[in-house]
Amino acid sequence: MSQGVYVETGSSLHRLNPLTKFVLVIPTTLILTLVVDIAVPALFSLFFLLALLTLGRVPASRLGRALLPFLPVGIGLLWTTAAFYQTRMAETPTVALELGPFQLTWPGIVYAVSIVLRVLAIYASSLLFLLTTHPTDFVLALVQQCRLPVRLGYGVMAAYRFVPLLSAELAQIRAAHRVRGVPEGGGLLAAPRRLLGYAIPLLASGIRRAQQVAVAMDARALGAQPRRTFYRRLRFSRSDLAFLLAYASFTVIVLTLLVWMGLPARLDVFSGPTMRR
Amino acid sequence: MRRLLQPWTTTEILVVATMGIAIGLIWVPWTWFYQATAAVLGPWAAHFVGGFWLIGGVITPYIVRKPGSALLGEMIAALAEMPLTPWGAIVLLAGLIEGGACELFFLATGYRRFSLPWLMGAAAFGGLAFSLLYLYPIQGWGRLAIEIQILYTVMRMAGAAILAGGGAKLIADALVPTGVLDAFPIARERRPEI
Repeated sequence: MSQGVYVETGSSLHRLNPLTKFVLVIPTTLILTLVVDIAVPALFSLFFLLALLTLGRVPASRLGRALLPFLPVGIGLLWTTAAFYQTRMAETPTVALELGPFQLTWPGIVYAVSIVLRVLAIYASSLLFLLTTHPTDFVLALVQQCRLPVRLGYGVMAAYRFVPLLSAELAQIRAAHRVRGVPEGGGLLAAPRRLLGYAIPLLASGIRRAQQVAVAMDARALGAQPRRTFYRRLRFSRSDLAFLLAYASFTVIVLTLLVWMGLPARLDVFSGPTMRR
Repeated sequence: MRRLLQPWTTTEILVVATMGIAIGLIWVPWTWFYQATAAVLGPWAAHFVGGFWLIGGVITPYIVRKPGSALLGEMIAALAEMPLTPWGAIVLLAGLIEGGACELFFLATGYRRFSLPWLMGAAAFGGLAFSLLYLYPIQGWGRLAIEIQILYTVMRMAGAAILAGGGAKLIADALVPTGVLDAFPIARERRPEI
């Protein structure tokens, strides 16, 4: 099963209920979206990354590798937001840098940095979930705690298990193409055609297998009874409560600091630039 | 109408799950293509490329034509993409908005209209919802110049219509002759009545 960035260390973070870790992403995203500030998203990022390193015992190298894809996203967002920032009427823009048609102003740069940090913090919050949660556990928790219909949860898991078979399937299709003399090489136009030539048989065999599994599930009366037992039972424990409390108190402290420093004036949601320059 | 109210069969669930996972896996290299476009041509072009993320909300309703198929297809695709994408768990929120918007669009048509313009319309509507509900607050578009805001939104919608709407039709129509979709409305509507 493809596990993505999941790191197995069996730490206390791993043993939390997947939903505990998942649900944190929601208030974090909400709060960070409402706050335009540099310190708040920086503190949130720090909270999640430190939790991963200490509580999660995730090696720094693995964490670094997981953060790497953020780099191009961050750089792209940074320069475009700064370049296209619309100065408000009330502000007197101090020009920091002229780059051809673009004019970078200080408020624009500060805004861009806060947006990049916001996206980083949201990303860090989901890393806490992704690096320490096995995908199977997440589906299991959805079935057991959220009452996701068992046919749906197990169906998705069953379909997910086909993924490792894809490469063998692809090799078979290529061999079949070669036997029939389908040209392998190709120019710029041939590439998408060839891709579709592989994708359709791959999808077709996947769908055929899905229908066989569906018959097998029905034959075993999956989900026919309203109550069922589980081989592995996931529960909410005291450590889930402790972790949620730690997160809540961190959030309250950060938000109190924000208000204490007189920053609610900076809160803005859609912040429409109603005044044009 | 009766067909729409029937509960989902296990076959339908499994086929939607398989399609969703396949699409989610295509989205992973697509993310790199998206970022390369953003780096080389700029974000306006990347928003066109990003329209492809709507395909999960269009292709499954096109095949299954049942309430919930758009939301389910897009959410499963997002779930499959989640562990492998640089965006993280937030893609589930993106999937919820995109799939939910497509679902509303198909609901408004009573799950009856599935010709190319309607598929493109559903995708474009999903792209609009995604721009307004996700990109505006998270990427702080509100502070960008108004022309840029309009350009980004229009590119999102155009990319969604062409890449997701057109792509869904291309792929699903190519699957029909293989016979694996014979149990579904997409293939049934093409068979002559006996």
